[in-house]
Amino acid sequence: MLNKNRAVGAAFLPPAHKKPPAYHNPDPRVAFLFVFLLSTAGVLLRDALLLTPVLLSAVAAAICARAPVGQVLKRLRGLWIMLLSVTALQTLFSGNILHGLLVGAAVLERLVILMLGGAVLAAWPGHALVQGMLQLRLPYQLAFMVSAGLRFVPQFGECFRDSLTAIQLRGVDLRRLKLKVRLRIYTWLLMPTVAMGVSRAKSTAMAMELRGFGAHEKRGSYAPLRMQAKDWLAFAGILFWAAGLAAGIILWRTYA
Amino acid sequence: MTISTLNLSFQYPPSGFRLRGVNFTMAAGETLALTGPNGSGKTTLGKLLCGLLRPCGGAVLLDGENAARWSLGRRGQRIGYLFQEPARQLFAPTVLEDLTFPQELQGIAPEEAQTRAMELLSRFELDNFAQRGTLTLSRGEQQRLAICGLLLNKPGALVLDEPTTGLDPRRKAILSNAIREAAKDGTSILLITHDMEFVQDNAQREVKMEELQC
Ligand SMILES: Nc1ncnc2c1ncn2[C@@H]1O[C@H](COP(=O)(O)OP(=O)(O)OP(=O)(O)O)[C@@H](O)[C@H]1O
Ligand SMILES: [Mg+2]
Repeated sequence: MLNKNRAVGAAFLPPAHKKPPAYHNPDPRVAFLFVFLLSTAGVLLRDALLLTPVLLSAVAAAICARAPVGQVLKRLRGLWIMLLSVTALQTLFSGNILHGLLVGAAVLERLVILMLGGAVLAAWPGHALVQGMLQLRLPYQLAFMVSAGLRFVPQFGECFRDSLTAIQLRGVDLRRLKLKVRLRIYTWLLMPTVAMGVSRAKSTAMAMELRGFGAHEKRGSYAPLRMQAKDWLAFAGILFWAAGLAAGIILWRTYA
Repeated sequence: MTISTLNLSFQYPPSGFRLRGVNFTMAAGETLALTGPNGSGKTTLGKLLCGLLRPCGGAVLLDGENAARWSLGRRGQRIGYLFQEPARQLFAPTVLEDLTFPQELQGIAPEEAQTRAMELLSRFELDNFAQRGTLTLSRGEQQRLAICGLLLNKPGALVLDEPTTGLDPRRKAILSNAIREAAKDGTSILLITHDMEFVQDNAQREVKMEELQC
């Protein structure tokens, strides 16, 4: 089926002397596996010490994939500034200072790990990611929703900044408020921000459908992905890395 | 409060729409309508007045004082700004809290804050919605709630970006009354709108975006 589609689209393919698009190499599915394992580790582990090797791998991967970390950070500015202050508060209020620092470091590491994971994925163009998901047999609608959702991520930051501005325009000087009150405002803001983002994604999906998106049962693909030898190698490498990490953690937990 | 601009200029980065040398003055208690076609920069000018955008040149004078270094909070106490999309302006989980919370932060006792909030809500026929979530309100309801939020502060000036969009005739009349009453108390009001009927009923003077720039 895929080959037939390629023939149909052949007229639109870039001329042979041009380099194939970068997203074939490496295959986005390799990145999926890595980010999946990475975020699982990031969410499951609670110990600052154990999170450190995970964080280092995330940094290494982001560098290898030439992930647009700066861009992602900038887009999520409102969000991470808020999360940083929440982390600082958690550190302050957890009683024992050393313990507090460790807890704060763990939260921070987890945050950075998840963000780096997102940045690694952002190194591939959206359509390559959708194609990857499709070929993993995810339904098209879902794949599309996820990619549309990704597009709305910058809007979360924007909504958040808007709400912050709105509060200040109502005559509230945020900088003069007590931390506790500020925290309450931040949690309030997070809710409408998320709700607004989700509802925008939903209405976009519905609008697409009303305009005939998904009316045809079967869709072909313009640029199907194929795993190359290098990709399989990377795949194996990642599994190896994950196994090593898991073994290391289990050993550490039993003997330390 | 008087609002004036002195050779105000602005450009969206990197080389987008630009406003050049805007000069105008609004007297205290005056209601001024700002009109102009879509994309002529009305919202942009409103945002500049309220400090949401920073001018590239020139100044915004509030009561004759250059407001460039004022914090947003301080400006907000003096100028009430209605966003073109009011949903972006509501922040508390419920309608009532959206009105009481800023008051409590300013040191007003909770009971009094609530009384004042309920007064305004019933004036704009929103009293039945006091416990509703702000995000579940219809657009017209959100718009009215946002306006209530502005009036609470008794600001010296109001900048209303398309305040009648989405309002039914009855609610428009309520808004008209509120505007006139505020103007009587000396509030300067800038109406950014395409609603010419509303302009004729409420504004003393109309300026067109084209006339403002030199
Ligand atoms: N954030 C932005 N970045 C770049 N350009 C912008 C931005 N916001 C607005 N513009 C552009 O500036 C111009 C003026 O926009 P503005 O929103 O001030 O118009 P308006 O007069 O309020 O229009 P409307 O009647 O549709 O509300 C438009 O051409 C718009 O595309
Ligand atoms: Mg506008």
